[in-house]
Amino acid sequence: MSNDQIKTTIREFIVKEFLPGEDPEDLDASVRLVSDGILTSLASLRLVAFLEERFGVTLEAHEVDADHLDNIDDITALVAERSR
Amino acid sequence: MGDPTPRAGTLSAALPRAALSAQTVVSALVVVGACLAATGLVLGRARLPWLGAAGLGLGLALDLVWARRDPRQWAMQVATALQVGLLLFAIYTYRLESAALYERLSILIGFGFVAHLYLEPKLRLPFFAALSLAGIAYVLGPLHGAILVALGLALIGVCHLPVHLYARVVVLLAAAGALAALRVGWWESEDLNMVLPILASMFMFRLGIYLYDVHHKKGPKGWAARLAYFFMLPNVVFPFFPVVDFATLGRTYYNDDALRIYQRGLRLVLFGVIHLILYRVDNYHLSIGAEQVRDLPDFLRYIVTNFGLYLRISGLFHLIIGLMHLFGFNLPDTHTRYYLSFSFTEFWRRINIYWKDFMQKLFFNPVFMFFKKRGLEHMRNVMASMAVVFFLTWVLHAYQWFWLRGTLLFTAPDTLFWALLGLLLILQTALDNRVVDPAAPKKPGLLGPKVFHALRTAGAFLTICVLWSLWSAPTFGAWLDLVAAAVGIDPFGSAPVPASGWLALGLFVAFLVFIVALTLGFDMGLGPRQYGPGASAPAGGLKGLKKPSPVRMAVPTTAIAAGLVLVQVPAVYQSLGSGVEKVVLDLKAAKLSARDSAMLVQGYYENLTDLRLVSSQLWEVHLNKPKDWHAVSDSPVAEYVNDYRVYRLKADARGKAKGVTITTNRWRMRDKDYPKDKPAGAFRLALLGASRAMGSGVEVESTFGWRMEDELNRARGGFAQYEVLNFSIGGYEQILRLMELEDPILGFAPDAVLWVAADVDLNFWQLVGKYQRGLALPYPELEQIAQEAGLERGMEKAEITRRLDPYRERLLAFVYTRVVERCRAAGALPIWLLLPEPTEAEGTAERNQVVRRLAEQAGFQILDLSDVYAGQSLPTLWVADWDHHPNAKGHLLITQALLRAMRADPTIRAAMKLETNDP
Repeated sequence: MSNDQIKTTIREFIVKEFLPGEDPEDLDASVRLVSDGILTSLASLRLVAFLEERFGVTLEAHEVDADHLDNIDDITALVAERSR
Repeated sequence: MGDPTPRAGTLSAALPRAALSAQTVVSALVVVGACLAATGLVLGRARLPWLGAAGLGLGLALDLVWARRDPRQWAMQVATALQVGLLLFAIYTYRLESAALYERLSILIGFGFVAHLYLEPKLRLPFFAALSLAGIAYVLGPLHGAILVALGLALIGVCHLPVHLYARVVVLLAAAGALAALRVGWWESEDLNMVLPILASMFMFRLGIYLYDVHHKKGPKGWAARLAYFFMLPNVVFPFFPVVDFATLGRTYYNDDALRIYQRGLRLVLFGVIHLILYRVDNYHLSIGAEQVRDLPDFLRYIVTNFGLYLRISGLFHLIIGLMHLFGFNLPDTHTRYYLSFSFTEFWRRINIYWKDFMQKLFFNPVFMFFKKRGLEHMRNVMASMAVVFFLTWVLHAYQWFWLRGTLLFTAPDTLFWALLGLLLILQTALDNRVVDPAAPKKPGLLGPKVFHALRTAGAFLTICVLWSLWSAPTFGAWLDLVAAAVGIDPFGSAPVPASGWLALGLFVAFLVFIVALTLGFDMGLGPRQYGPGASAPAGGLKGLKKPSPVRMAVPTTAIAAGLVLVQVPAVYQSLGSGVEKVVLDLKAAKLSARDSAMLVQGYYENLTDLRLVSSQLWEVHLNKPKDWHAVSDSPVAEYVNDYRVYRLKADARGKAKGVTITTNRWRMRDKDYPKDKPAGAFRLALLGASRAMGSGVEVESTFGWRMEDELNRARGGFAQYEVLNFSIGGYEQILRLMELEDPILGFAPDAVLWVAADVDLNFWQLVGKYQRGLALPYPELEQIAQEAGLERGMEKAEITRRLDPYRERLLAFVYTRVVERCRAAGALPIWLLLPEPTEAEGTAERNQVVRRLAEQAGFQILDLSDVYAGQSLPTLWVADWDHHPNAKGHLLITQALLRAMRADPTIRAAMKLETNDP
């Protein structure tokens, strides 16, 4: 799966689950998902569960944070790296 | 660490390359000028600040005309610096928090900010670290600062030992154990006692985060970042400090436009100032004690204003985080409109995001992942992990309390509070995550969505207030008494509870259930369905996240800050009328509330272990108190007696109390030796007071009783000799002084008795405590009043106080009348001396009027020294910052004023044969 496909899948999930009514195109790399409170602690765990199930990757506890999940590009890069 | 290099459009980036050398000179002038000015002010040198200011001014001027800075950007930079000055001036004007902040640290923050603006980006972080260390040395002094930094460096060093993580944890635990032994006083060291609470506030949580991040190779690198993280500038004056995350500190460092970060910081500082001013309004004028609750409106006022005291903590957190922004740390907001939360989860998310993130990082996520790997279903896992988090929150609050206060905090209300909050949050999380059928027909509620949301917010606020009242209650029983008082039930009455009482209780409980259900998200047909997947879209959607321009942010911040400062200009508030003037001056005064002041005088806070202390300004006062600062009752010169007095002074004893040596004579007085029989031709005055008259914290030769005797004999009045026998005993409330008068004082045949009074004579806290413990009251009249008030042994103190409140004047009238009767019967002139503490407390004047009226009605000769400290700076008259009894200077003022007052009173002058023209 290409990075663009990964990004699109993740973006759709985030918008559907946490930003209903928003245009997925507005969710670009400038949106800080954790820092701006869009991904709460529980929302982050739901996202992690989704990533693990959808892309077959495994994340550790210390990776569930703003360093790894704060924007769509970071999440994509993390998944892409683990998928290799 | 984030790249501190300013992005395109920021100040340094805009500098043309050609102007680099000029800019270097300009930067050097500004930085050196700012550092010189700050150093001059810190060291109290007269010329250095002017020299520094001249360099700084020259540098700024050259920046515009020589280095050719873009005028607009130059103006923005100067305007931001002026804004910082304005906000710091507002903090100074309102005397917010401690003098260490508004007099000392403000200098470093203000000039440090200007210097920091002109530094190369790569030098900014080391500069902030150096500034933080300078702040520690300035506030704590070089010795204590060095001890703190040395201990801190050792702890940081342990985190980097080249051994396994578990070995480092073991070493850190051993170090914590050694420091804990110091904290509980196993090894006495005044220097370490001064340092430990601040060291603890810097390291007790951050060390765990740091170790975690170092282990996972997260966070910024380099010693400047580490020093900045642990010793960050504002921490030295704020023992309550947000648990800042190491990785977040690095990630957010200049992660946005520099000017926008500064403006966010200034806005947060302004919010902090406003919260702290509102806290004063609440503390001085609105909040009431649990013992004052008599009906439902009182209960509502109590719970709301009690929760309002938390504004102090939220104000401090805003201030701290805002100040960090001024040095580029774009840290997350905290306590964002937490009083407008509409649910428990929302409240938890808003109130202290730093704590939530800390718990999530170190406990929630690892526990969740642990259970997940073992196959626990998602929602069950979430709930189990939350339960673990709340259990640990409860434990860690006790841990925090231990380091800051030196004692553990494990009380029933505290336990119940965390258990209930945890339970409600878990319940709400489960409800929020219920699967809702999107095809199900939507039920319109009785109320519109906005009205229902407002109702739910109000319900959540009241629910939190009720929980807060439970948390801050001394015991669970005291909280139940509070509820009983609110609904008008007397749980101690002999008569059965009437039907109306049960009805009121039922309605109360029903209302509680209603607001808890509202907060949890049950619509109950009143509004549209609230629960569903926990979406957290930002207000205004993604477009609402757009970043405002710094100029737009600066305007309201500056306008409000200027308004706050302007209203404190005498010409302004005087023109607004006397009512406004009083309010404005009131807000400016960093004084204690009436309750705090009275409690401090009576040593009530000495042993306080509940959470009321957190929201009191006395917290910092007691933080610095030496471990061996004992009251006389806990000193070797006191002995236990098995009656209402509980303790008395020993005869011919010697021991230390409150930093001075106390020596008693054979008659158990802190005084020189006197024969029991009055010498011929002598005038004998018996001095009868409590700690002030005994001379708490001052040498005996400095006490006003001792000095007065010297002065009277030096002035040679109509008697051959004047004796002032000091029978005062620290901690003796008015009833105990009456007992002392009857035995042994009147046995010494005094010619006059000088009763030292203050507004706290209206408080009967010792009576309350002793009655609760089952001690017999020493006078039948007191037992009679206790019966009329419906007191019973074993009642909670707040309940006894509540019931006794209407009888306080009657109690004091009984004491005063009996004192006067006994004195007259023994041929002694009863003199009543109003002698306040050198503190400023709300409502003192009104209470002084009450005690004076009662003294006049009883027939005392009145001496009023309520203005004895007029024109003096009160802190210069204190024994210590943590003890506001008058020091030697204060006792000298009292002696002079007292002798003047005695000579001015015809009756006393005649009785003592004093000359009016005595010096």
